Amino acid sequence: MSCRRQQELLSDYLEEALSPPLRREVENHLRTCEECRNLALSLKDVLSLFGSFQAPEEPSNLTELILERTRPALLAPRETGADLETDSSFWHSFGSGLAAAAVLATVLLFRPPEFLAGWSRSVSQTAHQSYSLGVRTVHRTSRWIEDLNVLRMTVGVAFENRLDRLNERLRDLEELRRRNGGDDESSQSGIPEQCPKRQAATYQARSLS
Amino acid sequence: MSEASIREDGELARQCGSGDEEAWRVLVGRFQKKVWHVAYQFTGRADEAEELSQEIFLHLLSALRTFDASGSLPAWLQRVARNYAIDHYRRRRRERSMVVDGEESEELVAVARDTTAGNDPHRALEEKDLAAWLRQVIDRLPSELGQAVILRDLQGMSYEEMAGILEIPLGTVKSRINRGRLELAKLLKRRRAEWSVALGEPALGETVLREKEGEA
Repeated sequence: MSCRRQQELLSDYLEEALSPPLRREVENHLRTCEECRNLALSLKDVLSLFGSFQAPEEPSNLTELILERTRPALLAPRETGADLETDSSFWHSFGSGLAAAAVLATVLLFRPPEFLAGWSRSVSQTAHQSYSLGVRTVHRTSRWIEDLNVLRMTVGVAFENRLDRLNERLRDLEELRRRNGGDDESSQSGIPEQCPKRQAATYQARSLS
Repeated sequence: MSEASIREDGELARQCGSGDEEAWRVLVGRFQKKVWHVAYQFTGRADEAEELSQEIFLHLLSALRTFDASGSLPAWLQRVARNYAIDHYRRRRRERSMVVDGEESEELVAVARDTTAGNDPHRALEEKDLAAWLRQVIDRLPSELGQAVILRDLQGMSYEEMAGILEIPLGTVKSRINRGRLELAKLLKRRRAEWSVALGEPALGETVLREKEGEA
């Protein structure tokens, strides 16, 4: 048997895990091979040193270091943590897109465009309801819902900002109508006469956009 | 472990999971020494072990939601900490990967010459320093060999446990341990030969065979 093969058996030999025939074979080889003998001695020392290996005492402030490092995660345990750190950005962006899509789809399906003429509060409520519907139907895991709860406010705020701009445009259009003769223009644009001014202006805003 | 202590640990884990700072302080205080030992065995350096200990507790905090309150908290914690340390070891080794295939590489030999002992041969002969030197040299072995040696010889895991945790066959586990130990033994042998020359002592003369015969 070669030295290489003998050396592969040395660990088991030193741990007395070899069968008697193999043990005798290794011993016969060690009697005749000084290199393997010395290697076996070193291996024996390695195993002995492992036994004496000890970690030093932990730093005296280790507790405080750990508590300080983990405090943010502890106080917000459902949103942080080592396993979430790596993928939170993905879920946030994914959830963001999904929530925005759910809001827009529900708005277009269940609400007429006239609602855009309403005030921000009512629209925000609608967005919230739409969002909740999207959450119930699409997201079934708690993690997704946690992300989306955060996004709800973001989307709501973004929506309100958008509506502010629309309302500004509506005010501009109303001003324009007043300058051009008011009710005459609404009849020219095909809007029924019984429609309130605000709705007429909204209609125009939509056709212009 | 008594049922009462299991219930207490389960309640402690639940409180920590719900953000109870006092409960978390108790848990950290109870297990930080164990986590520190795991971290030091896998890093071999106090500064890295300090950082890894913090990471492990951060990971434990998020993993608490998966803890089965009917099981043993210390055993679960040890397992989670060790798994995290293994992943950390792999990541760290990937960052400074080195390929050694069977024979001693020049880099390994250089490490064996340079590590810890400085220029003082007497200091090198102290067992405590040799053990620290040995731990550092493990990091220069190929990753899978170093990992196997740490789990077996420092963590004291069984072959079967290692096969499960590393998801490799039992024979591969044994082979990696043997190869890793042999690499270390070669380095130690060479290192001692160098110090013997430096100290004017005779080269290694006593054989293992003779020792074992003497024991018998």
